[in-house]
Formats: sequence, C-alpha cells, structure tokens
Amino acid sequence: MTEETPSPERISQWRGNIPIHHRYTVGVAGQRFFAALRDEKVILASTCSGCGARFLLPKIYCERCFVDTKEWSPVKGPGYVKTFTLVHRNLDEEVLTEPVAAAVIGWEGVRGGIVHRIGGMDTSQLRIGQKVEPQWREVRTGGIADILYFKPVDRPFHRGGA
Amino acid sequence: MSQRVAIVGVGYTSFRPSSPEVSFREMIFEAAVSAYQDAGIEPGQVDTFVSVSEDYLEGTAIADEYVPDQLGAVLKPVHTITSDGITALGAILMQLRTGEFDIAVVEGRSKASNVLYPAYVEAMALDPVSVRPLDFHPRFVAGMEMRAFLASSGNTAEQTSAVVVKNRGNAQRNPMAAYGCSFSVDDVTSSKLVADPLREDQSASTADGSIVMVLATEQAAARMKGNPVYIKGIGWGQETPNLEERDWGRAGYAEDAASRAYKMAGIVEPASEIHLAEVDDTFAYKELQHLEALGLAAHGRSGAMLEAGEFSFDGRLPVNVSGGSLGCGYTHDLSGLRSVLEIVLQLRGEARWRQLDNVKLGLAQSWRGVPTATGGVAILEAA
Repeated sequence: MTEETPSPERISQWRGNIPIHHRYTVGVAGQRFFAALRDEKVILASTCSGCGARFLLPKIYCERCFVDTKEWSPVKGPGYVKTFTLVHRNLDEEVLTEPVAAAVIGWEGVRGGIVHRIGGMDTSQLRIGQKVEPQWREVRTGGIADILYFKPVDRPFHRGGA
Repeated sequence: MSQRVAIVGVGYTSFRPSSPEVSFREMIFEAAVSAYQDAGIEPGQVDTFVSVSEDYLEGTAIADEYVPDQLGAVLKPVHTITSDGITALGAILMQLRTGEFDIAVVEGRSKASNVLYPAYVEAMALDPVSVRPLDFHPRFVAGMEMRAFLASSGNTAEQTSAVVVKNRGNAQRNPMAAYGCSFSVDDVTSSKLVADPLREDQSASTADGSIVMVLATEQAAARMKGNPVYIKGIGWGQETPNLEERDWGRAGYAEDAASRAYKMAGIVEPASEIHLAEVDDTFAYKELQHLEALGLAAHGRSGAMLEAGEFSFDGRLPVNVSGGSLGCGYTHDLSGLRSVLEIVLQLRGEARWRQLDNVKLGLAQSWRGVPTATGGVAILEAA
C-alpha cells in the first residue's frame, strides 16, 4: 500500500451539532388564549384598562400604560391581510413545489394580529387587505396550529369591498 | 463634560465565502495584530475589551469565553454584546467615557461558512410558541417586510434590484469584498423568488472575516501615532420582537437610533451634512428602507434617488461604496463593524481605489438581521 498524501481537507474540520430541547412556558395570557382556540374556536384579545388598546396576541399587561389588562373578548368579523409573502424554500433550503403563503393578519380596532398561513385559495391572487377567517382543525391541541390556515371570506359578500 | 472618543487603529481580514484554512481564533489574531500595529500599541496597553457574537452562530455556548487569548485580553475586563457591531462600539464608548479606561478594543468575527444550516439558527429566533410551529423558512419575515415597504413607500422591486447592481459593482473596487460583480437590473430581477417579492440575488450571501478596532479617549489618542477618527454620535434601539405588532413598512429602530446619534452629533439636516454612508443592505430593499429611516432620502423617494445616481460612487451622497453586505458578504453581527471600518478608511483617506474626495463626516448603520427590528447608527468624523 502506498502511503496516503496528507490532505488538509482531512483535518480541516470537525463536525458537531447542538441538540437542544426546551419547554416554553406560554404564560397566563397564553394559557387563556390557546385554551380558547382549542375549546371554543375563538381568537381572544385583551384590553388595556388604561388606554383601551386591544392586544392580539393578548397580554396581561399594557406596555404603554404599564397596567394590567382586565377585559378579554373575542375578535369579531373577518381579519385582513396586513402583509404577506409566498415562501419558496423549506428550512433545508429545498425549493418547494408549491410556495407557502405566510401573512400577518389583523383585525379592525385591534393592535397586533396573528402570523399564520393563508390557504383555501389560489395564493398567486392574494393581495394586501384580503379579508380572511380561520380554518379550524378538527382535532385541536391548544397551539397556534389549531388554526390550519386563514382562508378568504366568501367572495360574494365582499365583492367590491376593501 | 465627557471626553471625546476616537477609533485609533483598525485591523481586519478580507471577507470571503469560506475560510477553511483558519480557525476563528486565528482570524481574530490576524485582525488583532494589524489593529495593534495600526494604533502603534502593544496589547498589554489595552484596558478593556468588548466582543460581539451570538452563541448559536458560533456553535458553542458562552462563546465569549473563547475570545480573550487571541486578543491579548487574558485577565483583563472582557464582555460580550449579543447584538451587533455598532452596539458593541457604543458599549466601548460608554466604558471610555467613564474615565476609568484610556484604551479599549472592540472585536467581531464571522465564521458564517461553518453554520451548516443557517435557516435553522434563524428559526430559533422566531417566537417558539406563536410563530416557530408554523415552520416557515425564516426569510418569510424579509419577504413580508419587503412587500409592506414597497406598498407603503411606492418604491419598486426593480429599484431594489438597482441597489444590488450598485453595491456589487462598488465591491469590484474593494479588495476585501467577496462578491464584486457586474450585472444588470434584469439579471437580479430574473433570479429565483425566495420569499416573494424577495429574490435570491436581492439577499446578501454570507462571508467570513474578522475586524478588531482600537479606541481611545481624546487624551490618550493625542499620545498615539495613529490617525484618529472620532465618534461624533451613536445610538441604538429596538422595536417589539412580536411580528404581529410591527409597523411593517418602516424601520422604526433605525429612525430611533438615528435620532439619538444625530442629537449627540449635533446634526440637523443629515441629508446635506453627511458626506458618505454605509447602511445595512442585508436585503436590497433594506438599503432603501434604511435611507428613508435615516432621513437621507425623503419618504418614498429613495428608489428614484438611487436610479438618478445620487447614492452612486460618484453621486451626491455615496452609499455603500465598500459594496455593503451585498458586495462584501453578510457577516452577521460583524456587519455593523464592517460599515464602521469602511467609514474609518474613507475618512483617513486610505480606501485606495474606492477613495472618495473631501469626506469628513460619515454615517454607519446596522441591522441585526431576521427576525429582529434592532439596529444602530454611528456618526464618525475625521480628525
């Protein structure tokens, strides 16, 4: 056997990974919000007792007034798409056969909203301002994915609308 | 009144797509040796050190523990800023202005090529409960922001492609830059969509490199041989981490950081007072968004001003003559320091083929990257 030529490639790197597993506490507000998603299929916002701002995702405090938020109530009516993108890659940088629509969904009179998928439509036609409602999962476990995606609100009722 | 603080020495490696021949410590050592030589000091003369890094990107926990040796900082005060280079510069400035220290060092480095699956690292920065379970490639944040910015400002996707053409073109004059290239708006606009409307070539590719800077109080600087560049103003700030609560069209963090830096520097009309700027261009639209946030372009006008050549190498206010992150390569939290480095070299008249004439006051701006809304601004002045 011939002696191997030392190759800098052979010794230039050492591979490793970081196996990290965590538990993330959802908190007082999160427990109530996710329980409402799972048990009642409603999206709960919380209201500041000082300035009256309604927060989504709900919080137990208002960061402006620095007081507790006491009132909780479901958002009403359809949400609307504040901004969106069509994502063409997965986390492994592979190109997806169909892009995934990601959006920030807001509701009138609510500060904030929900980041989620848009589905149930030809997403190449998606526009800012599109009115949407949640498509609920049959089996819900108390997480953001209890909503499968947000889908357009039936067009006939909103033709010519915002 | 607190003393003025100057950058009195800079050391750096080139920026390159990968650096398999050197470890990150050896890269820092290379930059440190040239920084100390540039400042005309021995490492033993440095009183305090600040390093900038993110554990996930370094691949080790408590990564700052690996910093002291190659900087000559063993048994000296060292602390790490897990934000970006300009925030680290601010931390050093504050330390020097306490009056307890005369000479300080800031260090940053990128070994981005060693991060094998960077999207997983960025995904770890998304809210673990409300966003991460949706499993989006984290660049979706940039896609949503680009769409909102274009919609609210009236700038166009083609104008963001023109940013790429300018910056990668500028990088051809910069021997440190990894991605110098001459191509057209059509070339950029025909690259693949990553997070619609954001395209592949409108995103900076990563680079490795290291920068070390020596700073000193004005009094200490006067005793040194170097060519000092003064920090005239600095500011940094961050918005909410909650994606659903952001004002998506605006870079509020840059407006906030700029207003602090301008106030400290006594700048009233940045667009006419500043001679050159290095602003964050991790994604091409970010350069336009940042120029408007910094008051260097009126709201909605940045794209047209760019097309008119105002931000070009020979324009009224050259922006990213270094090539920016699009041209030099994106170096994570080192990027802010890379912007500062370019301003220092320009103000010292040492930028060689890309040297601008008559530049005395420069601005460097940073953004911490997806999914953050955090960044800093530094105003630098020639001695």
